[in-house]
Amino acid sequence: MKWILAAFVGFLVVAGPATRGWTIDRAEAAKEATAAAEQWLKLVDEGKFNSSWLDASTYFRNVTTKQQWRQQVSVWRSALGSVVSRKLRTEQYLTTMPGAPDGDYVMIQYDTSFTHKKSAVEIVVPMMDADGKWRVSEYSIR
Amino acid sequence: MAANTNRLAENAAPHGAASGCVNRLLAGAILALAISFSPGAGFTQVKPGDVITAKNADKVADLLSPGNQFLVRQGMTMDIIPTGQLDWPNPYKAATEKYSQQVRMSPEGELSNYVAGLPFPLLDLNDPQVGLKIMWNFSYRPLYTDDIDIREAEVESRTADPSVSDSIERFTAGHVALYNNIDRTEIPPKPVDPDYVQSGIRYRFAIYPLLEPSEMRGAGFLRYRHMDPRIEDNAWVYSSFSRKVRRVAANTLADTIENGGADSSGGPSTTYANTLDPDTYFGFAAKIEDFDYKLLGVKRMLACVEAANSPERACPTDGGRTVCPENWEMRYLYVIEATAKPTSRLGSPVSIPKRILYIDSEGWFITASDLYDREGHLWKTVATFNAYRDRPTPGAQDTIWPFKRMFQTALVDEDIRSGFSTILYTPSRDTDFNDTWFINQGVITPLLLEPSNIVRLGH
Repeated sequence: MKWILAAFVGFLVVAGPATRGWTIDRAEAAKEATAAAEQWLKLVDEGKFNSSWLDASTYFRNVTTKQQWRQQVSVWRSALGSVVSRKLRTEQYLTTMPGAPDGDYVMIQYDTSFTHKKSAVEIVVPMMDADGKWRVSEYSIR
Repeated sequence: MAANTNRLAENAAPHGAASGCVNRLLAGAILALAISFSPGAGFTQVKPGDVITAKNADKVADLLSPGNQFLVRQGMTMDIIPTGQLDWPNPYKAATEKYSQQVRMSPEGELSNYVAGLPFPLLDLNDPQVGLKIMWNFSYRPLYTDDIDIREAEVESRTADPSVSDSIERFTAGHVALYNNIDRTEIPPKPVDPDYVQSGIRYRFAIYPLLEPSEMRGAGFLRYRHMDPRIEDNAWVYSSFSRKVRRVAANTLADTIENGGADSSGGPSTTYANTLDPDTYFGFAAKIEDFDYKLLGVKRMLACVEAANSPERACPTDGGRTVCPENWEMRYLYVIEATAKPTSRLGSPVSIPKRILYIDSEGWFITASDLYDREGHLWKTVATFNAYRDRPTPGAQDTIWPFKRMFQTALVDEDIRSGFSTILYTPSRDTDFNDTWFINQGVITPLLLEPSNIVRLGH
């Protein structure tokens, strides 16, 4: 019996991040994910597109090359100008995203004002990476 | 039959997709079709090098839709070329391989678990839903998966009256633009824009701003397609005269759209183009779930899929009512009967309740369609002209793609009762630009396709 208990505890320790989904505190997750999103958005705001790619989730870097990301984010941001204000609108905890692996996601929306676009909505989706840290997996502006 | 089967497999199978599971699926599907269907009666009636004119139109009588036959008889010239192969973009092939096996369709025909690529690469002709599956494949065809920006599109209408040599109406639009929220295979965010999860919007489409005629300069049309079959399309028209945006009812999208109209805005009541309706853009643009579909057959017929000209040229032998001479080649086409559902969410009958659609079995785009009125009579015919190249025009600089792409160079929409014709030229014949078709290049964003932006650009 002790062996079984020890094995179970060992499994939890080793596979901790991967199994956090069923014990995750959603409020805490949203808080951590939002902090990660805002740190990442700062890189984008400062035009540090390479760094924003490097700081994104493993999934993001697997589906989007650094060159693709640089090209697309520079198109978006050069048209919109710099950020004037950004206000959190909604946070939504999700365990699935279409086309992406199942996991822990927080979809965050910001009401953002740019110099050339007064009213826009930024969508940032951090996901919990394999090491248990929240990193951005998707980003869009509408 | 064995010889025909081999020829079909050679001609219709997308050879460029020659590796991986997708290709095996496709080969299986094409072979199944080949065994089930024999070539049409006109199989040997044309050969590469033939020139078809009104005088020998009988040669292609069995190789065109009834409506398209009318176009040849009125003077459209066709150059017959050997059958080519249309290869899909590699990212689209990869998406098909990755996601197609998870796609499901409910008994009601609703699609679920779709992410990107061709939803149904393997078709069973005995499947009672095969017609609908073909239409879903058309809807997610490999042409424009992420975004498009066609710069300077032209719409011209001409009458059959030989005494009228000039066009009746002519419009040019700055942009014909599309942004897909799903089925994104080349440009981030991919394969799905997170906005899709929030909004449920599948794509945003717009034509804006009109550059001419001057009295309509600035006008625009906008359409949002929702993934939920119970939510009708949202559509708006911006009138530069009244400076107002007005909603357009989804059930009127099979009609031509007016620019405000004298009664509502005091502006000109001219239509955008007298015969072309938004549901006919790209051959068929109505919501898939609003129609019932029946596969009438798989036929070897003529279609224009490797156009010689881009921009296209007005046909000199039919008064400019089509584009010609152009390259036509023998293709395997799915022939689908699309009938508007009597219990459609639209609530009232559409003006084109039945369409016969001809869909290329490799490229999955519509090559022709015949449109029937509410009395069941053939009313209009549509022919699309398509190119397969690595750049939209020979002089392109910014739009040289890493592989050949399929794109539409023109769409002819003719009322066969009156001979009144409307042609959508993509790009315009008079464009000064060489870079006219931006396909999956990330130049269109959702922000550009919002009503407020259409208004801003229209001023």
